[in-house]
Amino acid sequence: MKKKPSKQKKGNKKSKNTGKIKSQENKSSHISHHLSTGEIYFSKYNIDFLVFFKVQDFLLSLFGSILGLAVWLLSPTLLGLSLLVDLNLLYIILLIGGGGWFLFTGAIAYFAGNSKFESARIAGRRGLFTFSIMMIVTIFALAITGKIIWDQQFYHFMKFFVVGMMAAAVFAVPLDYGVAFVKGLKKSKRYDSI
Amino acid sequence: MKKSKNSKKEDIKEELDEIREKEEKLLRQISKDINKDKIQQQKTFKEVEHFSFNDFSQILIGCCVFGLPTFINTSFWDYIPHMKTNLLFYIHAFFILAVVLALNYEFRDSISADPWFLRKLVMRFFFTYFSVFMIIVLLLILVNKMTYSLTNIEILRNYLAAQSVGMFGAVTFSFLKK
Repeated sequence: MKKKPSKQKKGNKKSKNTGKIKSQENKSSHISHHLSTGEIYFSKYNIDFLVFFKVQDFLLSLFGSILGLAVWLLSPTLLGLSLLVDLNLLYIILLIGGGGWFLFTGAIAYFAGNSKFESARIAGRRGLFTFSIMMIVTIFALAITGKIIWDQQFYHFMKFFVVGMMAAAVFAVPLDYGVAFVKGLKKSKRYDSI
Repeated sequence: MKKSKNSKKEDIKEELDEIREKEEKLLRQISKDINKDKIQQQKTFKEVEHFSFNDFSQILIGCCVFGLPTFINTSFWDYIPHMKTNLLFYIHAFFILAVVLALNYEFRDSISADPWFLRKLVMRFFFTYFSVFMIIVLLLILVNKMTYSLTNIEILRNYLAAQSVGMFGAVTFSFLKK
């Protein structure tokens, strides 16, 4: 390969940035481009389901949360059994579940070619949206069904809240992430065939 | 003779290269001037969009610097039971509006309703609010104002008062830094 003359190397300072982007573009085989926000991410494989939170994801996590909470609140056996568990144990289960999911999604983003900080940012940002929806829906559902009231002790609120979050997560997380992942996969396959 | 011809050709080529470089520079300068506003807008959008660890640490420090002296002060907590919950909620809503305005002026000088920017601003506010929420919950637990023995309404009142102070601190610190 013939090298370019040194004069061209001097170039403009601005070319450094474009060069960096071009090298990123060459290394990666997938470009995630959000049409409405204009966000662009380069990765080795399709991680659209992690980097973007679309309206479809919002609706799915909302539907999943409602479904999970309905199943939990409408079955007296499940409700009674779940409330028998010690609150500290519930905290540990929630922490392991949430932390494990964060690490798992972070690892997916990391192996797609992002740095450690960037992968943590992508995984955290994506998880935060689903977590917030689950949190709001859980509080709303508990308030509607009269499980939480103003003059109740905070301990009972926390117990209902933590178990409710778990129940919501059982359906919301697989639906939200799963459907987004499968849809992204189908989309990239369609583009490959073209 | 051939050598001299070749050297002449090379000289001409070099001159042509130099002219091309100058031309490119000029064209870049012209396009830069034309797109200056557009570039500035894109830069602002990118700044709003990217909530980095640096932003989180600024919020953390702002929250602690402005919040801790208030939370340690017992007269602050003595005053809260005399306030109505509705009033605390209105103060909280007012602070939310103030923080959204402050965030808007942190990234641009106007207040036009650009839907793309507003969308990003709302997301930015959400990140800021959630970051403050995490810090405030920790601080409330530390100063024994979020314990299992308290009722839900007491916890909510404490949270509303503390979150307002925390948000105020978080935004003020980033302004002071600038």
